[in-house]
Amino acid sequence: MDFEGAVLPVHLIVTGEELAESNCVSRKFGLNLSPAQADMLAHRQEESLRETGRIEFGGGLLKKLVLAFCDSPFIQPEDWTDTLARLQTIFYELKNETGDRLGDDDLIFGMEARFSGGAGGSLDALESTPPEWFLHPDLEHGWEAEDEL
Amino acid sequence: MNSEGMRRSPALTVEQDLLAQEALWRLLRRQAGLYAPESSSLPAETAAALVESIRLTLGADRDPKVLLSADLNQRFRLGQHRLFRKIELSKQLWRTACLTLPEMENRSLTDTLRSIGGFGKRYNVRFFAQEIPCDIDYQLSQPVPETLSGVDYLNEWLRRLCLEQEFLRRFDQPAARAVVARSCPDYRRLLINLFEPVAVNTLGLALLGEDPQLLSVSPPLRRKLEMRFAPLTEAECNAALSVGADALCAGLGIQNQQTVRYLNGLASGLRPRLRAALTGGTLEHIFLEI
Repeated sequence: MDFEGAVLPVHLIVTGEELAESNCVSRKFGLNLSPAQADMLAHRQEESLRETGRIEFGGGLLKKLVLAFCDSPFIQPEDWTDTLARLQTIFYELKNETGDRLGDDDLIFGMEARFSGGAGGSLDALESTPPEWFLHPDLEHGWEAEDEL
Repeated sequence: MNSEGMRRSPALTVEQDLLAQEALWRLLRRQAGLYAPESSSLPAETAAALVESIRLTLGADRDPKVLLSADLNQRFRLGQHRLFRKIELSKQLWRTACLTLPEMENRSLTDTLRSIGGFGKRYNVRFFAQEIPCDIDYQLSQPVPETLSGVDYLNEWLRRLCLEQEFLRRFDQPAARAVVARSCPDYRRLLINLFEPVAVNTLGLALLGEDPQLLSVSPPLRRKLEMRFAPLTEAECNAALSVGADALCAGLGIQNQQTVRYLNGLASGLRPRLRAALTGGTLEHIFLEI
């Protein structure tokens, strides 16, 4: 189905509360989002949903990504907003590629493990990780070669 | 689901439509949370399927104003109970269909009934009530409208099959089998309908005032039919076939109005075949001799 043209009462806004809670944690690592940046990320999230053909029902993804990635040694404060925008897109892509077999929290956990591990902080390497890696993380050694050769 | 799922219904005003879509969205959000409790998003196709299921459960396709109900959750629960009752009905219809199988083998019919036997276990009332989780290969004489879905489609399909089989069992089974074999020698293996050749032959006999139980349309009788139909206009042909269907029902003592309507449907559907065959000069492939 195509929801285009339908009136969907979904508003992907980052609430002040969500932003405050996210910044409260990430600030310890020198990372901060302004309300304008949060709005931009919400806009990018809508684009990601459209591109990946998904419908968001809950919200709160931004906060989860912030909490999971803010302590990664590969995160650069000056790239924080762009990194989060990419992570949102990669998240939805991986939801599709893994056939929705992973819950949001498990997938984000796997993304962070991959990003800070074998992907070496590369979003491109994270994005090109085969979905099987996230579905069967115990087989990690079998996948390392792909982006590390 | 098609793209109509969340689009405006013409039966509602703009204001009502906005309220209806918000209500539908709230139900969809709840259903999505139940379906995938660990995910805040779903593929659009899955969301669309959930919407279609909600609409079917509520009967919103027939009456979009149901979405304006004050207690939509209660209406939804009642709708689910109604679907469960329909599943019970489909079990009864399936048992009847199995018990009234005509004495002629057809692989697609037995395979279809076997598959329908597992419908109750596979049918997902909670989330995908519009789906028909079984393989229905057997061809009915008059297909079920595609506007029906889920258990509604299945029950209508089974009801029509029961009508067809009840009709077939009115006749001497070896003779009925011979008619079907004359129509399609490989009737056991091919995807053909068993009812239609028998019903058409009996219709032809009824049109001539003959006993439908004869089942066979001899060449002299067939020529009478050819002479009768050849000069008729389309309207006259329709009228004659309708009279023939009524005569057939009277001759067989059929009073069930569903069967009467079904045979009338068969008769009206026969007209294009008759016209085409008469253009070729003979009805020998429509009215069969055994």
